[in-house]
Amino acid sequence: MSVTNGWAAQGLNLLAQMAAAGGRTDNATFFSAASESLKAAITKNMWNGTLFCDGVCSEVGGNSRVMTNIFFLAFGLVPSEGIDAAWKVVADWGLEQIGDYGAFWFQTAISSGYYSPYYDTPDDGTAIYTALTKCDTYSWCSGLLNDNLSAFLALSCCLNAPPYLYLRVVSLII
Amino acid sequence: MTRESWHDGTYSHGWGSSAIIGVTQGIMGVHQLSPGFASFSVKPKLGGLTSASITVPCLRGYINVTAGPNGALDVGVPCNTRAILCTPRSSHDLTVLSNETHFLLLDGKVTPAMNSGGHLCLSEPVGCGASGTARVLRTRLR
Repeated sequence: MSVTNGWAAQGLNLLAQMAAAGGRTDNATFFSAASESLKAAITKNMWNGTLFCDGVCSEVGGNSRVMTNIFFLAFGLVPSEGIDAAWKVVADWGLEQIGDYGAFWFQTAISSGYYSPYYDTPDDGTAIYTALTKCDTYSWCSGLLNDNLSAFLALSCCLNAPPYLYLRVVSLII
Repeated sequence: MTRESWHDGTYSHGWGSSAIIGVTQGIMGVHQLSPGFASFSVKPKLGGLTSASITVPCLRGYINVTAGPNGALDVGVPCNTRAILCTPRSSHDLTVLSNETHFLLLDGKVTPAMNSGGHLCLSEPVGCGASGTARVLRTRLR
């Protein structure tokens, strides 16, 4: 639920920016106020001082709290005083059991977010460096290792060889 | 654009390109600050790397960034843009930068700087160098 609210707050913020760019001042003011109101409510009701909860904080654990904090960091919704703590929740989880969709947002979150204003990550870049270079059967690029499909399609359009050879080539490359 | 996932889907999604986010924004710290990259910031954090380079294409040209040891930073700034240039002020950089450091060397000249989280940034955004050359940012030993 909190992720949905995060999307809504960010969507309203972007609508406000688009309205402002188009000269629709009244609409920009309306959407901006709605976004700020929703962000204030999120912080009041879903922030426990350490992390954003996916619903009731006492019942949250595991991957759900990680994903909630991922999206709120990516959207720039975390109060400045809570960034280090929320960031640590995400960075400590690593990319375990996070697929390709999640990997996009994970890397966005620990890279200081996708949308302005950007925040300063509390480390020296080690977390994102580790995420980028880690690839095993449990991490974000496991799909590529297991299936070879993205690279396979790219190669099969250009090479005149049997499919098993493509797969072998890709495996050697990886 | 890339596939929807490593496993399946159409070629109309950004999800398969997550490593670009990590490298461009996370390691090299290149962030767009206004529409069309009219302004941007460069705040590298190299993690375990000694040095790194990247070319980021944008609507106004190519942003070329090379970051090296001791906070060295070379940035090719497109001439129709303005850039905030910063050098990391992380734990292993404290040999050259302290909290009291308030200047950097820009193209060899002492230039005012200010702390910004984990970075020391030039106080004013800069444009391209003479004849479009890269801007050269260096720290100064305390």
